Order: sequence, then structure tokens, then C-alpha cells
Amino acid sequence: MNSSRRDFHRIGSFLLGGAVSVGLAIPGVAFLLDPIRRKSGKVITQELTRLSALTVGEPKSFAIIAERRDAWVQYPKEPVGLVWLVRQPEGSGAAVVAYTAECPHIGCQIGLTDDAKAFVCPCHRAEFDFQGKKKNAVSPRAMDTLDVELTKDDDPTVIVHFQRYRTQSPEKVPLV
Amino acid sequence: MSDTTPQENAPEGVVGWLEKRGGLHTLFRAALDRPVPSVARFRYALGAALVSSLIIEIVTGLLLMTIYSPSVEAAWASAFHIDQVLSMGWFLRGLHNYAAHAMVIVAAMHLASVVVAGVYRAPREMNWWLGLGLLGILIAFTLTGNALVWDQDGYWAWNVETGIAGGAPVIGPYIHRVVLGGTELGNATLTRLYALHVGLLPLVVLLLLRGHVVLARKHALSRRAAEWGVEPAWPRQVFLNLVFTTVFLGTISWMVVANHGVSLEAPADPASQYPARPAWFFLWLFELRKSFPGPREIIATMVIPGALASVMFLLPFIDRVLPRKVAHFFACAFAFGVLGGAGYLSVRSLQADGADSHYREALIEAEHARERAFALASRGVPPGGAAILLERDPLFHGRKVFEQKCQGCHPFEKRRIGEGSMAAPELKGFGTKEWVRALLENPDEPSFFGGIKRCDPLLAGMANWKKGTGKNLSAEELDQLSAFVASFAEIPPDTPVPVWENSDLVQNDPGYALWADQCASCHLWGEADEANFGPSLYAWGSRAWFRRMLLSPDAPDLYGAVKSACRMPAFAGQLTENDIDTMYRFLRGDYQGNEGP
Repeated sequence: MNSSRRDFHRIGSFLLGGAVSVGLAIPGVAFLLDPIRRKSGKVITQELTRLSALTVGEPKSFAIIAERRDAWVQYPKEPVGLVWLVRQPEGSGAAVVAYTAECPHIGCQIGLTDDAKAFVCPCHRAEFDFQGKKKNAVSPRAMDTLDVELTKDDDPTVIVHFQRYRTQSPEKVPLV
Repeated sequence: MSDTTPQENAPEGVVGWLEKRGGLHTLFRAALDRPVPSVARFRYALGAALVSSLIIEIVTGLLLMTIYSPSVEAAWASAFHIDQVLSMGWFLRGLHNYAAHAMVIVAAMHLASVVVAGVYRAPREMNWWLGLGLLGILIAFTLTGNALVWDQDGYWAWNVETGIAGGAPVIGPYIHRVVLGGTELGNATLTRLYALHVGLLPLVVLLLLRGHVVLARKHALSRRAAEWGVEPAWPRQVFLNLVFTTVFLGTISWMVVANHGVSLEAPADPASQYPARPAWFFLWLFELRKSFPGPREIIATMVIPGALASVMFLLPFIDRVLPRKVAHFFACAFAFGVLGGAGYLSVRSLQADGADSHYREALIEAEHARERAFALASRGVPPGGAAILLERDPLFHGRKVFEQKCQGCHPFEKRRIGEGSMAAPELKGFGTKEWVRALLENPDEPSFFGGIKRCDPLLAGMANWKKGTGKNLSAEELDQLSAFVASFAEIPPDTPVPVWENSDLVQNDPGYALWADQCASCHLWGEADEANFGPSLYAWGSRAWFRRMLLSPDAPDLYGAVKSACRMPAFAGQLTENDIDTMYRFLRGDYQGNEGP
């Protein structure tokens, strides 16, 4: 058989095979990587409590309640996150500091130690003091603070702007 | 141990390393160097196109599996999510579906070409059977895949298909129960469908295909093809295969794009009348069934298909009883006879449906349901699943209940459906100021009490008021009175009458004095007065009043005084709370898509 025709068949086969593969790969990859181009984070603003209900030195946890969209399902209001409020002593600037309970390490929900003297994450024992500072080397950064607002009342209402941050990173990077 | 690869072809480098350990190079070369007739033909590309399509099915199938969720609550919604939300999801689901159906066509062509070439005969019987088995699996793939999305079409088609299987003698009912995972279609049906579609069927198809290809290579070329001369498949036949495959897949992709994917009907609704039709390749059996009514139906569903399949299966043996040429003629005549007959019946079925106005109306209704479900699902599906979308929708369900139960007597937008016994008041705008204003303007209109007042003189009460004291009210006073009456709908549930009546809101309403003067002598709050009949209008237009009116219109403070033949029938026991709620919200215009300006 003549060799130029053989070359045509050979090169043509590679081209057609390649075209079919690429034609399928493009939509396939776009479909698979769809989550990357979606916005995930949003800030949830919620009233949590009256300031008077908080005691200095005693962190108190509050659930963030919101409607939630999970892929195709629209869930009615339900707990979507947990916040720790720590009331600060008089004259220390902010009256109350809010931490998200999501551990900056790998994202488990932070609780209190048995003696209630520190925060601890149940997954890898990352510990934090009530200023959110690391007490051991497990977490890459301090606990993530959330923006807090107080109403102008005599007994102000604590309003928290809840959002989520990337775990495993030394910097606090909001998830968007 | 000696190297099995001939020395002159021994590959080097990475390929050589792999060859020594896995023999991949030898396998690959065996495929490329397999002998094919030196008159390379597109006819031989049919098998290759089927293998390529199978690869497409596996790739797109795996991608769809990353989202699809096999449960009654999630199946439709996840398919909707794939089609409407995810990048290229509509294309991949469309390709998965179209390629599968195109494979049925190509497989039929492949089969026909095998019959024409006569290569089903000895010693290739085994491969003929494997091919028939593969065609069967292919059909099983399309049927299970169609049902997986759990839309109206998939649900009802599967209901019919499994129902037919359940009609088989003796073992039918057992098969039916095992396939459905119970006696009705439900969660277990879907998980079984899923296990079949992504587990068992792929495993079987790969095994059969492996055998099919191995046997095809083993038997190599027919005597006739060998006479034409032989050459390796690579590169000429491979090139032709790829040209065919590219055109084939290109055409399918174009169809997917042109139709913007494959259709997704409204979510499965077991309580609906959906005009289910079988897959296109079974349409001829659907038509055939019409000729065998009643107990003879089994002839169309079992006997004829079974006989055809048996003849196909036994085709290689006809050579033994008939002369070779006659047997081949019979085989060809049979294959094309079946194809032609099936084609004829399919066309007849399509024509019958096209001429059937009930079928066309049912399709239009199904399309309305689909559109409404899509509009609702675009805001997310409730955790209870997609079926709830339409069931809880005032515009879809509430309207349907209203049409079935009420619109015979009560016109909506001046239209009544069917022949109700009475001409009751129009209910478009029920509870609004506009409705009340129009009533007060002319209660004798046929769309208010003009139609039913002849039945019982009590129902002429409003008309008599209008002829009496009512005629003296100015347009402004009528406006004020209408606004006041329309405000009854906003009375919170369970508010005691005095609490509401003594509130500033009521006391300061200019309509209140007019009410006391003009209406209160007949329309008492929650009491009956035989002498001056008028139903209690306390909280009129609210859900509670509406519910009570539906369930017990004969209550003394409602229409108890009216002759029962002239009164609205009580619907207690005939309506669910959801029926009442969605109907109320429909009449009040409280539904998605009607948020107002």
C-alpha cells in the first residue's frame, strides 16, 4: 500500500481520536469542576442575645439559624453554625467578642474543656484561651473572630455577622 | 522463560518495561493488527461505533453519578439540578441519553449486517447469541435509565413495563414484586433500578462484550471476506472506524445541542393521569397490544415477542433443516420483515395518538405541570422532595381542586366547568375589596346572587337590600364599606368578636358605621337569626372562614336557613387540609409567580 495514504490514515486516526476525546473532556471537566466556580460563603447577620445575659469570663455558645440551600434542596430555617460569645471586662474596648466555633485547623466544632477554663476542639485537641489565642501548636492560627454589633439600647442586643473561613491556613481567609 | 514477543517487534523504553510486566503492547498490537478484509468498509465500523458509544456512556454515566441521587425525594430534583444548574450538565445527561438510544439503532444495523453477511451461522452461533444478549442488555439500560429520573414519563413507563412483566404466567407476580422491591413503585424500586443500571448491567455488558470481541477475533473473517484479501486493521480500518464514530457522535452531540438536552417531565405523581407511552423501540408492541384486547393481551405482550426472540435465537440452526441458500433467504426475510412490521406499527401508533384529542390534551396538561414544576424548583426543592412542589402549589393543585369540586357552580373569571346544578357567585377575587364592591354595586348580577335567588327567596336578600336602603349609598360610601368588609380577612384567627370590634382599627374605620347601619341587622357575628337571614361574615375571606364554609355550609350561622337543595353541599370528608389550603391561597392569589408589581 502506498505510504502517503498510510500516513494519512495514521495521522487522521490520531486527529479524530483526539477530537472525540477533547470534545468529551471539555464538558466533562466543566461539569466535574463546577463547584469551584460557585460562590459558597455568605454572611449571615443574626441577633443572638442581650448583653446582660453574658457574664465576663464565661463564654456562651449560640446557634446560627438560617435557611440553607444544599445543592437542589432548599432547607427551612435550621442551625447552620455555632458561635461563642465572650463578654469582655469594662473599659477593654469591645464589650463582647464573637468567635466562630469552627476550628481553624480542620473545621470541627470547638467546645469547652472539662474545667471550662479554655476552648478545645474535640478532633485534634487544639486548645485556645478565651482571647482566642492558641494554647498548643495544633491549629495554624487563633480562633476566628466575627464582626459584632451592639444596638443602642440600655441593654444592647448582640448582633453577629457570621461567616466561614478557610481551614488549614495560617491566615484568616473568608470562604467566598 | 522466553519472551513471547517476536524479537523484531520488541519495544524499548517505557513501553518495553510495561510490555515485559503486563503484556499491554501485545494486547494493543493484537487489536490493531487484527486481520480485516483489504476492502475496508464502513459496515465494519458499526461495532467500533458501539464500543466508542459504550465508552461515552461509561464516562458520562460516572459524571452523572457524582450528582444523581436515587431516592424518591431526590431523584427528580438531582436530575433537575444537573440540567438547570450545573455547567454542561444538560449536555452530559443529554449525551448519555441520546447515545444510548442511538446505540439501539446502530446495534440493530450491526445485527442486520450480520444477518445479510450470513455470519451468524456455524461456527459463530455463540457470538450471535452474545450479540443478541448485548442488544437485550442495551434495551434494559435504556429502560432503567429512563425510570431513574423519576419524572412522570419514567415513573409511568416503568410502572407499565414492570406491570407487563408481572403479567407473565406463574412467576410474573414474583418477578414484579422483586423488581419493584414491593407491590408499589417507591424508594426500593429506585435503589434497585440504580443497582441494575450502574452495577449489574455494566458488569454483564462488559463480560458479554469481552466474549463477543474475543470470539469475533477467534473466528476472524468469513470465507467470502477472506477471498477479498486481508490486511491489518491499523491504520485503514481504524481510520474508517474513527471517521464513522466521529460522524456518529458528532450527529448525536448536535441533536443534544439542538434539543437542549433530553426532556425532563414533571416530577412523578402517582395520583395523576399521565398518558404514558413506551420507549420508541417498543411502540410497535404498544400498537400490537390494541389488536389483542382482554385476556388475549398476553399474545401481544408475551407470546409474539417471545416467539420473535426465539426465532432470532434459533436462526443459526435453520441451516440444518433447510438448504443453505433458502435458510439465508429466510433469515434475511425474517429480520427485515420484523423491522418493517415494527416500523409500520410504530407509525400507526404515532398516527393514532396524533388523531386522539384526549391524548393531545393530556400532553398539554403534562406540559403545564412540567413548566410549573420547573418554575417552582428553580428556587430549590423542599426536603420532602419534588412531588411536594406541585402538590402544595396553589396555582397547580389548588386550582385543580377548585376546577374539580367548585367550578361546576362557581365561575372563575366568568367560566364554569361542566354542568353544575347552580349558578353560584363568581369567586375570582374572593375576599378582596373589588369583589365586595362589585357585589354591592349589583348583587343581582348572574355572577353573584342573580342566578340562585330563584331557588330560595332567602338568597335574594342582597338584591332586596340594594332595592331598599342600599340604593341610597354614595359611591364613596360603597368604597368605604367594601374596604371594611375586605378587612375581615385580616382578622387574626381565634380573635373574640368584642376584642376585634372594640379595637381602634375598627372603631376608626369609616366603613364600620356604614356596616352597623346597613349590614349588621342581617349579618350577625357568629349567630343565626331566622327572621333576618344573612350568613355570619366575621373573618370572612380568612382561611378559617373559607374552611368552615367548605366543610359545614349548613351551620346555622352560615347558610343553615337556606333550603338544602339551594345550599352549597358540605365538602367535609372530601377535601384534605392541603386541598383547602392550596385552594384558599389560589383564590387569594397567594402563590409563587403572583407576587404583584
